[in-house]
Amino acid sequence: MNRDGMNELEEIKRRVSPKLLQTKGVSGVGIQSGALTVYLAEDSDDIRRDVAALLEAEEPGTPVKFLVTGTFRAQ
Amino acid sequence: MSVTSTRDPLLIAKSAAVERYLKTAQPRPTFSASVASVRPEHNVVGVGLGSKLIEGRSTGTVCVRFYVERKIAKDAIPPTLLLPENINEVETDVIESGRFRALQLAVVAPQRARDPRARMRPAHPGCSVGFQFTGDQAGFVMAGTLGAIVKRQAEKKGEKSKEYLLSNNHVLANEGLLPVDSPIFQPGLLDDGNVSTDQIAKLSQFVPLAPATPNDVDCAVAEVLDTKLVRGSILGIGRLADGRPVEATEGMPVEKSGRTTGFTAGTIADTNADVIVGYETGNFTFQNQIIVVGDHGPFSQAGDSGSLIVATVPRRAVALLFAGSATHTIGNPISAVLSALNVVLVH
Repeated sequence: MNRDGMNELEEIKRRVSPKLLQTKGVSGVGIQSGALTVYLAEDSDDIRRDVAALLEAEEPGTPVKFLVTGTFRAQ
Repeated sequence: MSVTSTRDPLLIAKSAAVERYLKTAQPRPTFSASVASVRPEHNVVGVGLGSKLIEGRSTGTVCVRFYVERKIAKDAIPPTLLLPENINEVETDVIESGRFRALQLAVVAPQRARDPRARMRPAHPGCSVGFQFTGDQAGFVMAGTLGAIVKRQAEKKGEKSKEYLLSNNHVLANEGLLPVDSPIFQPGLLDDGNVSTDQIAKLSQFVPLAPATPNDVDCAVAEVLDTKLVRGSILGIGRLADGRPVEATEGMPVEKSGRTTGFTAGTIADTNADVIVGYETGNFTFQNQIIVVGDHGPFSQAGDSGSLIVATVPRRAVALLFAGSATHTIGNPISAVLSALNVVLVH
């Protein structure tokens, strides 16, 4: 992905991240391999559906990747 | 006719100990850093009878034995939480057994590097450090990792240079609950640090954790009491090639040296993550964080917080490890940490 594409993705992440982080079961939001990446606290199709619906409403057409990481704790 | 065995008083004393300490056992609360409790209700895992041991040798006196998860120096334990020296006039002994578990096959790899949980002078980044819990939290002990030695960015000419330990707020300042000047120990008290002899620094500054807005860093520094007490080279890694940080990139090979898992290698998976992290004092959001995945199992575990994450080639600092899950590790970009504390790395 070129720098312009990356900048655009970072801008999308900045816009949707606060709402995504309020979605139950979402541990984080980032960018991996040129795709918006949503980190999940558990492997759940319900959470994936909630995230996809939110993205469709806020940033339609944005490709998203899911990764099950579990919850994050200070170590 | 009744026959009284000479063991009866011992059995009675043992039963009293079981009633008082094992039947009141409670699960230990979870803490964010690597923490153990010396409160009897958490720490006593067994009670038995046996010969009293002093420095590993039998004294020949039969006593009531308390088996504990962690045996900590007496002076680190508030007097009210000490186990009794006698029960029903029978002497007691305290033996560290760890927590009993169903047995699993385990293979212990040969230990080549220095033990990061040991007392070491000079102390090197990668070793165990920590604070002492006070107030309502007295009776718990913890340990985290010393990440690096740093100094202030601008020092007046001719002024004697001060050095500082760099780690996380939650490793040096108990999530912002400790006052400046609180003592910092090496090793941490969880690793048998001694409050009388093992203070190496005092808390100088921390960046508070913000509950309502996204955080950038979880970091703090503690002024070293004597610069002879520390060295900048990282256990198992060595000296940094350069004190200037390097920007993280996806796919970058990295390594770290931590108090719990020692040296591990991994790969940066994300340089721009916003995450929710659980602490003792609540959940906090962090923005623009670095995510690392271990190359051979987890990159970090509880107690590794504070470790410096370093690019493999060239060996330059990338991030300050502070959180993770079973599979992923999170670090603050080191440039944000150094800037927030106005310090530079000593390499």
